[in-house]
Amino acid sequence: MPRVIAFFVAFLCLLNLLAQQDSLRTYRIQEVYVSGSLDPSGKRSATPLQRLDGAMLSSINSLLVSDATRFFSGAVIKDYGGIGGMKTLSVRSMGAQHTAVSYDGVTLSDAQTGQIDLGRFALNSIEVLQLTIGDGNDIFQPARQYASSGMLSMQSKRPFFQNGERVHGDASMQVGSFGLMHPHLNLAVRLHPNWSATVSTEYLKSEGNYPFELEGEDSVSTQVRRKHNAVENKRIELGLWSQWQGWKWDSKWYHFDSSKELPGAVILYNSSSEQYLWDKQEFVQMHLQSPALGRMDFKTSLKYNDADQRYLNNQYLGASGKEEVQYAQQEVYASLVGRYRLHPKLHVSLAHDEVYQTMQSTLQGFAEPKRRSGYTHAAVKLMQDRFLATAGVLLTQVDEAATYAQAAQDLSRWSPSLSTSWQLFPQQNLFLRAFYKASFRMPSFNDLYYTNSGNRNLKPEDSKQWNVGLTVEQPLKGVLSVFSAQVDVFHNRIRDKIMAIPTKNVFVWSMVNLGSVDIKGLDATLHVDAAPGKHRIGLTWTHSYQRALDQTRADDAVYNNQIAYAPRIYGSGRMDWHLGSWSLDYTLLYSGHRYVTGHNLEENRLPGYVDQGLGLEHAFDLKKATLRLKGELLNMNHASYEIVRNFPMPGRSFRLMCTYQW
Amino acid sequence: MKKIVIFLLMLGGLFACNDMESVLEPDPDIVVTEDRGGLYVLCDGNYSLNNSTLAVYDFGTRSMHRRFFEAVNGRKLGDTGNEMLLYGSKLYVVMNVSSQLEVLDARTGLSLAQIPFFDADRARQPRDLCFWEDKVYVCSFDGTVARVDTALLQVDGVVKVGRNPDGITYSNGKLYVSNSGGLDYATGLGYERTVSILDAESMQLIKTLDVGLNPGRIRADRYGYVYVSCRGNYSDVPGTWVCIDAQSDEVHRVFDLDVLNFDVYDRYAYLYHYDYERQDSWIKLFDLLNQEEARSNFITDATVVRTPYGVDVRADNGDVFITDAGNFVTSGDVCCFDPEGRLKYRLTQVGVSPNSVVYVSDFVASGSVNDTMPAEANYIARVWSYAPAPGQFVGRYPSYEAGDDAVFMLEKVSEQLIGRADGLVSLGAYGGSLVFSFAEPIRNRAGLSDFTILGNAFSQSAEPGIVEVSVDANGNGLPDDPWFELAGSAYAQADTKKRIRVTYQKPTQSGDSVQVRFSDGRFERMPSVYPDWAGDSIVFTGTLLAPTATRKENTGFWILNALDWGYADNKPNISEASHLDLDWAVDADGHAVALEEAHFVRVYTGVYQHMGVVGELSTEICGAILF
Repeated sequence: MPRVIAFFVAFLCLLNLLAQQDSLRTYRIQEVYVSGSLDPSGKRSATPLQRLDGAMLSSINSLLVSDATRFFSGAVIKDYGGIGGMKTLSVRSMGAQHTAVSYDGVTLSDAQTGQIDLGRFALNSIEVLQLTIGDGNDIFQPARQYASSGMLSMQSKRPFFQNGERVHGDASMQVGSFGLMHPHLNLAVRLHPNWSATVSTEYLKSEGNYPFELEGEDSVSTQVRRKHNAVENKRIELGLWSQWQGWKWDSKWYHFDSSKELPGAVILYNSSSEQYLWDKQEFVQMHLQSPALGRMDFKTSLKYNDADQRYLNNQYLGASGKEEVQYAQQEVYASLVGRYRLHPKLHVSLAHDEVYQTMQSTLQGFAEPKRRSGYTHAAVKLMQDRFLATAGVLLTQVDEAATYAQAAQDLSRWSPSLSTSWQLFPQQNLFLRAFYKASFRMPSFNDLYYTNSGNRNLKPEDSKQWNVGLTVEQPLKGVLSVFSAQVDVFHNRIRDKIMAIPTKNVFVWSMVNLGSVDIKGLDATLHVDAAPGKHRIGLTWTHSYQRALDQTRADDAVYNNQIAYAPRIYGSGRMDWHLGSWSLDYTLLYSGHRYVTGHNLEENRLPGYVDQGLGLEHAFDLKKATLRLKGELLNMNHASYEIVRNFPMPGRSFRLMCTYQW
Repeated sequence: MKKIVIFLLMLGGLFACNDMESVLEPDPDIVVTEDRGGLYVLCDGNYSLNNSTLAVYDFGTRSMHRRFFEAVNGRKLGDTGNEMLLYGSKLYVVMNVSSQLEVLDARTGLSLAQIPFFDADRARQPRDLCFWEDKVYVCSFDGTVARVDTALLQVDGVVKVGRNPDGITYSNGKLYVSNSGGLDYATGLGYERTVSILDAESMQLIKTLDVGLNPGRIRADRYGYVYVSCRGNYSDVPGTWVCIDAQSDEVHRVFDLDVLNFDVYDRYAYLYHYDYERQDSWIKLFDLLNQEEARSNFITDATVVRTPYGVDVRADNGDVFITDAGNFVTSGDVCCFDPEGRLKYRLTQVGVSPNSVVYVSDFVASGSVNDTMPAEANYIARVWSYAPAPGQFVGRYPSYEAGDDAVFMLEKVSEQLIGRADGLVSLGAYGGSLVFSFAEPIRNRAGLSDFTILGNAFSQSAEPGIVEVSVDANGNGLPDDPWFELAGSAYAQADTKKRIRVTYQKPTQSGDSVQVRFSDGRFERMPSVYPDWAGDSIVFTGTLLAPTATRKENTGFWILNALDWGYADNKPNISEASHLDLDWAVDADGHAVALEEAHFVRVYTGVYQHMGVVGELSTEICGAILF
């Protein structure tokens, strides 16, 4: 079986290579690493799986990872506007803290808030972006990857050398409206037949002073500019890669720092804001993966992560006239996962991860919490020709300690999951799939320990997911070459939702386990490829329908109202059209109206929007290199909208990018 | 394969539609009391959503205006309104996050001044206020007290006090400011524990008195004491309630009561506590004369206040208002108790987190002109007919009870409109009409307007009704003569349609939507109440104005725009543009008719428009005055 997989991988790569040769769009072929997935469209996957890679990523007119994830069905980005505004991803209305985000195979964590700001990551160095809802099919993964309801995986570019090649890379420069400047470099060097090194670095600067409509007296809108909204990011990554007799090893050092002005919400009659945020993150990580050792293979990862944040508010009305708080977080992570092939069609796996997290702050009386989390995951996977099933169970054990406060209770919890996919007819690519997954999210350090508002008695927030779906992929005759579709219906339940409620003392909020949400919905993705003459056209449409209803208290006026900021419908469309060395991209994002609080009154309604983009690219073939020029027109209809009330989004803007690839 | 694709597409189509609709605010409560005037309720709203509201319950018209400030002033109040004070004829509203002091005319709600509270660029964030003589004193989070001149409506002095003052009160020639220090709860400094005592006249600091950790609400009683709630640190230091002697300016007594908020009236204080983590509370009555608890549970009936958020006592009769913030997301309630702790009435879903309540006895909503109108005015003397079209308020204004017939309904309408200016009669959708007359004929006064019809219109809430008059040409004393339309400002507009007949079909089942057929071929269904006492169909022919309401793109709000002049329930009653003139009369062909006088008036809803959750546009009549 492993040899079959290896052969299949090689075969696919070769096909890919052949297919790409007549095109200028050279596809960097990767070793199939992500999940051993031979099925990028996800049609065989027993849980919904969506993927953006290579050419797709460059055709969606996106600068940041958060822009790209807006094209995934079922995923809603909460975006505070501009490049610096925080962007978090909520999958199927379960809330951002139920979505894990991984970078190069290791889950990123922010124990302080429990959510990851996707606005930090630019797309240039990302090779694959994948959204998995539920567990996915791969049982050969670190245990922590099974600990969330959904997972966004970011895979950075890996080195690949064609015959005789010693150095390759790409360098780009991007400029755009509102003071955007974004140079970037990826470089891979082959040091030895078995050793290579990579460098990836970027700098991003934006003023973010875009205009927006401010509602004024007698409902007349005036145009003003967003103030105090600049951002500056720097990132550098160094990697070392090697392989020897089927063993693979890689390691990476990552450094990121950012400096931001925070404009705050647009408050009527008060436009003052002097808040700043500085972030610094550094990590080192290492992976080792074995070849097949008999019926067994294994992989291991190690990571050390250090994150510092500094917040400054120069208009704070405390005694010193400013508020300055620093937070520091450290994490040590180790993972070991082994897989054993009981039978070519029956695999079992066992994984154990250890995570140790600590946090300090300059806040007075800060608890200085420490958390050890142990994740143990056991899974079994059955693969028949037309049938696939996996079952897994995750044991999460959390030990809490705090230096300056009483710690929250320790926790030990089992979370089962089950998924299956069945090809309905032997000759047709039509699959029925279903999954169930229980999961939970731990209260974050802020939820538990934040001075005054933290509540040490918080329970984890529970989620349960049920999903049934159909996938189809059909080669067609004539101009349309391929048609594929995924349609899933789902039911999610959130219990003991952690919520912040205001108190009479305006400085103090209170955290409580108060809330149940019942989510029923549908996600659909349709894709068509067409090839009329020399033209190549790809069309993709995604659509989500979500009834995410508050079911906390039947006697509340909000009972059965849609939860805050969850659109009932949401979707995207994209088209990429290639002719020779030219390509034209069109993107469309649409969202139904939302409500800014859980009470669905007309006054809380945030209108729906449509955001369209256009990109035109020309590639010049320079013997051993390619030069690309791309112009992008963003929000071309100048739609004036907000995703979060009083945090306006930019209107029409432009970007120009020049990439040199060799 | 194809079938599957079709099936998938169908399934997709099924779920593609956006079936999410706004929920309706519950119908406003109708409180039947002997009261006149209005009850203002200030609501915090949610932080950073700019949705603080000032609501009014108008006892005269028995109607609730939830977004009264916005409706009257054409702009939003702003973010986080914290406190409200009535002084003289003005209402002072402290807007904490927007950092403004709004000064309103208490009778009409019109903004007289919006005073910014900034120290250069820095928002002061005003928090509480009190008054003495001709000044209002406002304490702000930036550690200052500002003095506002109530005539000039300007800040005429600012002094420094302690850290993050949370409350201010006046007693014995002095100002008492509670310094919470709340914004340093997480720095080494921690909470404050002092009250700054200032000489009110000079604004000089007399003394800084240590009272207890985290002082908040502060109020003075009539016996020479000032009470302040010291809220502790919400963990190991419990709250206390501290009594300061305003003669000696020393702490007189410390009560072991964890009071979050209170108000003082006459001999009593009304105290409450709320535990946010456990979500439980108590509300107590305290005897200030004997300085002892009078009733451990103020509420003596079964009323439940889930989340007490504000307490205010009505100055003229001692009614106690306790606001209930509910879950802080939905609009909260105002509960009115008598001094014995029995619920008198509850106004539900007034606004998000209601915090202060002020009763204004001479409140004049645009609709209720009761007190502005002269007692000897020439009001409606007779109502001849009431033929409403279907509408959401038909059968409510006036109320219909099963078995009432047209004659009975006419009596109820007469009761509402004859001899007064504060009735309320809804005409329903387009064509719903009312015929009335005054005691004397309307005389055409040269160069002057001749009469006016009173409606409940205010800014952005106009529901124009077309007015017609007739002359008793056949002298039989009945309104059976030709009608002449008073051609208002929209009469000659291209989109105004003449002689449009509308037919409303009675639904077979009560509550079903009403079928509406127009003579121009248009057909619609309207989810409104059909007047049960009318026949199987209601037919009306008249002039149909183009829709006047517009929906604002960015907020989804409906704005009920007014026409320029010449209609009923269109411009506010206080506006001259609501007055009517016989000079505007035209005949059926649009030719001007010179009328010396007129005997009868007919008014009907001139627009057909349905506005989603807001319901249909329908003219409301409160009375009429002959000049």
